[in-house]
Amino acid sequence: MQILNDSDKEIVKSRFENELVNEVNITLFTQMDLGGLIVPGRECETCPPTEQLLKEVSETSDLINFRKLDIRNDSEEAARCNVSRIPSFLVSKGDETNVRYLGIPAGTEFPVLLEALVNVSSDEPKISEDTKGFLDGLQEIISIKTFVTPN
Amino acid sequence: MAHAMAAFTQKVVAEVIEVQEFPDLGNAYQVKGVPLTVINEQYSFTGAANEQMLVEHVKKALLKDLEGDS
Repeated sequence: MQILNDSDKEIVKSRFENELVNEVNITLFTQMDLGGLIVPGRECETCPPTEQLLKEVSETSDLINFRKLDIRNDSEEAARCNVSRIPSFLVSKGDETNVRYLGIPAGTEFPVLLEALVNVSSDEPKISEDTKGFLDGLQEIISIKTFVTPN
Repeated sequence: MAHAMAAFTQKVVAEVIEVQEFPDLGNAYQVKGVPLTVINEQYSFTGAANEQMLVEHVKKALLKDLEGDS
């Protein structure tokens, strides 16, 4: 079932035409379709809609590459990406793993997904020179977790 | 905003977590209101923050780390 309606898709498409610069990857960790089987402990209610939404977004621009991995079958890549929960996805230019999202970016969180794609795709993320200077001076890796609900 | 910083440098690992889907994480991080931002596992604040505010929070979190180490 389609999640984005045609009008939403056009808005996203037009924004990406203007703002995406380089190729950008969405790597989704999910689980294989169990064909309607319910395996206790393996329920993932939001895995199918997350996959559908990310696929639809990736179809709006040739610069977005969508990759779907299975948390169990692709366990080595999941370990490299430090992913242990599903649905979970990364936005990257190459093989970096530091732009991360756990859950479905729906509702008020949908713009967060678009911003992440635009920022990663850009050669110049939308932050000030002062902030860039501060970040360049960091001596250690900083972890920032933001907990949200999709209202 | 944190994602924009992470897009700029791999020194920032930015993760957004949809807490209704992962209530165990919500419990572990004692999420009572959203958005809740947790920096370096120790420092947290509730509410939206613009870029400048987030940078200030990161600076405070780094100071807290230093205090914790001493």
